[in-house]
Amino acid sequence: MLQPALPPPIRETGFAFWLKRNLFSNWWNSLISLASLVIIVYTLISLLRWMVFEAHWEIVWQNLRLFATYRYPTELLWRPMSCVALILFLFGLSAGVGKGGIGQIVFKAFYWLMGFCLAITLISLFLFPSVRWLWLIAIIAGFAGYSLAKFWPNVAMYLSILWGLSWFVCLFLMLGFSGESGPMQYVSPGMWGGIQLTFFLSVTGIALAFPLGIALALGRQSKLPAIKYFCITYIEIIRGAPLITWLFTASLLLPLFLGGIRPEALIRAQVAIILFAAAYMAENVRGGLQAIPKGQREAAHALGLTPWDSMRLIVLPQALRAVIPAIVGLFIGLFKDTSLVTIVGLHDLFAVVLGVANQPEAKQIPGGIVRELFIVMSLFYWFFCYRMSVASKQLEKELGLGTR
Amino acid sequence: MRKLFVLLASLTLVLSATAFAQSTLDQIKSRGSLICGVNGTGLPGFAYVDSDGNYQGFDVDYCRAVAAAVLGDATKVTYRGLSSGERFTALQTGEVDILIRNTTWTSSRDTGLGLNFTAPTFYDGQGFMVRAASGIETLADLDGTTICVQSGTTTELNLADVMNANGLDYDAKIAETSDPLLAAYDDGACDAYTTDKSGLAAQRTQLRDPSEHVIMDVTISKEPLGPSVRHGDDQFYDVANWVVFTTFMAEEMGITSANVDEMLVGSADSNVRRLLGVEPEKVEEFGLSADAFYNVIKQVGNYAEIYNRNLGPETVVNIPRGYNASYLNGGLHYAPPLR
Amino acid sequence: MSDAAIKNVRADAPVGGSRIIEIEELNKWYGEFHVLRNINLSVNKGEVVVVIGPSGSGKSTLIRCINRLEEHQKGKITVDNIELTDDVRNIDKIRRETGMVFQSFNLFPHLSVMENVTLAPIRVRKMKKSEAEQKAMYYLEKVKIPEQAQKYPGQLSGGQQQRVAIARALTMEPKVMLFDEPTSALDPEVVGEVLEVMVNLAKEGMTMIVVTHEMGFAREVGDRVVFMDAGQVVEVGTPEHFFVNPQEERTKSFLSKIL
Ligand SMILES: Nc1ncnc2c1ncn2[C@@H]1O[C@H](COP(=O)(O)OP(=O)(O)OP(=O)(O)O)[C@@H](O)[C@H]1O
Ligand SMILES: N[C@@H](CCC(=O)N[C@@H](CS)C(=O)NCC(=O)O)C(=O)O
Ligand SMILES: [Mg+2]
Repeated sequence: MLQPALPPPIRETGFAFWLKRNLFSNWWNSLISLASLVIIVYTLISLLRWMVFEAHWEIVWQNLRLFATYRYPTELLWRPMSCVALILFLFGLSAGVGKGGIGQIVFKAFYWLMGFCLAITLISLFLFPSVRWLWLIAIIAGFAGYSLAKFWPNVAMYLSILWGLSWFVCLFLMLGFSGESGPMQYVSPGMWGGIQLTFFLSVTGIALAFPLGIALALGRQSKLPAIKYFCITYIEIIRGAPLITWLFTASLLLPLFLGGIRPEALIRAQVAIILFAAAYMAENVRGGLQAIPKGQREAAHALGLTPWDSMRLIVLPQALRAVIPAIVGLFIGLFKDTSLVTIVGLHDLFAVVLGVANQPEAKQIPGGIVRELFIVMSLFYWFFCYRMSVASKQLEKELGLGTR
Repeated sequence: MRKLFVLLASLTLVLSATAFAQSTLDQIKSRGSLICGVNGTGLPGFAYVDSDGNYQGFDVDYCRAVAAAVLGDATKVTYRGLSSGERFTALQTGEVDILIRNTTWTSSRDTGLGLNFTAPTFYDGQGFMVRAASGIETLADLDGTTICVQSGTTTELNLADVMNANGLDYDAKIAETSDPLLAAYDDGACDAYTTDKSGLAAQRTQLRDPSEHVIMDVTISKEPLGPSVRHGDDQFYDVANWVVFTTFMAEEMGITSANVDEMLVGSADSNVRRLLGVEPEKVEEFGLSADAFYNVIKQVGNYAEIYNRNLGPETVVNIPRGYNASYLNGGLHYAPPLR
Repeated sequence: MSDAAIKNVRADAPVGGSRIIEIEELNKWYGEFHVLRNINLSVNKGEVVVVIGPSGSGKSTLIRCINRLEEHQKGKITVDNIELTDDVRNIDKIRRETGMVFQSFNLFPHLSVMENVTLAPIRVRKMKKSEAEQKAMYYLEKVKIPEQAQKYPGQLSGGQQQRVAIARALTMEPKVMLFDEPTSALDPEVVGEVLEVMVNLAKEGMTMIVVTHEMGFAREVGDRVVFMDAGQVVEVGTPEHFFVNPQEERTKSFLSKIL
């Protein structure tokens, strides 16, 4: 006989109940809760008081420009800003054409990036006349990209090419060509720095490590022992030492291998970052390759596809999809690890903050360490890393569902 | 392994030799800019990037002085921020022409690292900070006081040596890092606080009320800081050395950036006339144009100007000149004759 | 049971037909393990050969040797007069002429049904996309799922997926189709829809080698049944021969278990 369906037992709900059960269940717990409350309130009040009355935020405002682009010449700031505009534009396009779950994730990333840029635009509207219109244009470019994609969804086909091209365009814009003066004069990478450099190093690092990592992962599975053992040795050696070691090595040894030519410090650090990231990328990709069932390759072969085609069209796309979250994770790591380049004399955001803390003005702020600077820097790193890890989690979920 | 090492070493030598076939002076001239290695993280008063993105400071002014002498334009400097770890490699490998990065002249850096130091531009050394109201002025006044000092440093050893040698008694209050130590001093736990003077000044500004504290005119250790260049290019070494001497001489002779033009036309003193290139041959012997040292003074200033601009009483750093006065005022800066 | 106790017979196609597959003295080892032992098998154009046998007897290995998914060490395999050697060009030619359907479908999950089906014609036969899609629709209709063309494999049932896999192989218009237990991974209620497609294909004259335990299928369209055990062909005959009057003890005991 079927039992009659019963209503679920009544449960007390509501905030008061929650408080009672979790914080004030007996006199001892109540005492602890009250004491904690007092401590928390006291801390919050002191923090607020410090933030409002004591903190010297002017050291942050005055140096925003160093944080953004370090010593990049003021009259040429339109060049890196054009890169920002270009990237927001492409991001807008990508967000506009995105479909389905992944489209949602791209849109959210775009949304937050625009929010960040909008905040900066507002600040520069009031405080930084030299870049205020440039930021406004960048924001408009973002909206324009998004709208354009809505009118012309076919642009989706060109997106990857556009993104690839944009890297060269940005590099060209930021470097200029040789010349002493004029709008396109050469700006040595020694003048770059701050957030600009942090992004440049990490994005270029991941972008170039990607193909290299795939090549290494494939090489590691090669039937030719020479290639196979070269790849294994490379991967294991690189992974065997921390990035800081390779930065130093590249800084000292690269000139030796290049026959005495000394490339810019930026290039040396970038090469080290790429080679380092490639080894980790290779292992991620290898994991993805191993996760693809043997039957996939067999089916491709049975259809007559060449080994190269079956790798390129069947195995790799699936393997790479599976490792996107790992790649985002790698990027987040790289984004933070770029701060190591200070030891080879480059000025990423972290180095700039340290430098600002050594301005005589900063030394007038009581307390020894300039908390204001480090708080703002932490917020910056936190904002980007948090958004990226949220995106990565969502991607993981999305891709997990998609491929089953 | 050993063979590989030898191979690498000789390769470096060969490459270095080819890279440096051209003299440093010619390289700078053909490049049109001096590559100057400075403190990358910044040391207040000595080198830092201001909020407009320009390098400033005492060391930086010496970069500008060398550029003024060699290229006639103090702005033609490419700064290369260096960490203390990479500074010597950067100089040895030719990545920078000259290293001006609060670097202490020691014998092993002369011999083992192959550097040539010019005359010191700043005699750093361990000093003391005390409360102005305490009335402590000389080393002897420190008898029977409590002194805050960082543990495990040469600073701690220097202090013990000097106090023992002078038969003075003291209590050391120690900590591993400078921040808690400075806080302890600020709270009145010590009568005096000791560390290198270049850092002392910057730390003073972090106290609750810096104006209550003074840096004593006492130095108990030797840390002579100055520019250095590579072994093997005597011509450029001479130039760098005499740019430093020029700033000393100008102070000795009373030439400043403000009056140098008057001196140029009006001075009958042949020392002045040789320095400013009115009588050109002595300057030209360096391989420089006759107005090279004139440009140094005009565009950067004499030693006192450089010092006061970056470290003087008007600045946040405010380090008393002490040993860094001209010999005429009882200091150590003394230029050989230009003749 | 010693190996010598098992007979090894030739499975020659009837004379008179035109030979499309010719396997002579085929031997294969996995390491030390002798998995295929002196197999002689030929197939005529339009013939449907059903391979049966206990698990591990080498059925899959045999048909996978035909399109070089497995490499053999001794013997000779000829498909459509092309001999299977180490020459990559020959391997490519043979693979183009043989379609294969797997037990686990092996559809490409990142591609839509249409892309799954048109991939090889475009890449291997260098067909134009529009032409390939036309052809694909023709075969998707044949397997009765044209309406699923835009979906992804993950959105289809097992029976539908296996029919897509058949369409994918057919769109290459191969001369021979190899089936490796195409219905074993399917729920019983959808086995019928796949078998129906295969029966139609057989009736249209496709040359097929089918590894299966579906004796109903063998009875309806099988021209010859090949019974394998321990890497050898033990008995060959018409389906009737097997159902009515199997000769070998091994055959009898096997059939008694599956029928
Ligand atoms: N890659 C391999 N390496 C080693 N041994 C293998 C390999 N593949 C198959 N074998 C072995 O070869 C024998 C024949 O395998 P095969 O898959 O051809 O059998 P089958 O007749 O298709 O069996 P089933 O009905 O279970 O599919 C089995 O004993 C199997 O364990
Ligand atoms: N003068 C000493 C010390 C130079 C030095 O490293 N100074 C500290 C500041 S007092 C510094 O620059 N630290 C920052 C860094 O190492 O990057 C020397 O030449 O060894
Ligand atoms: Mg099998």
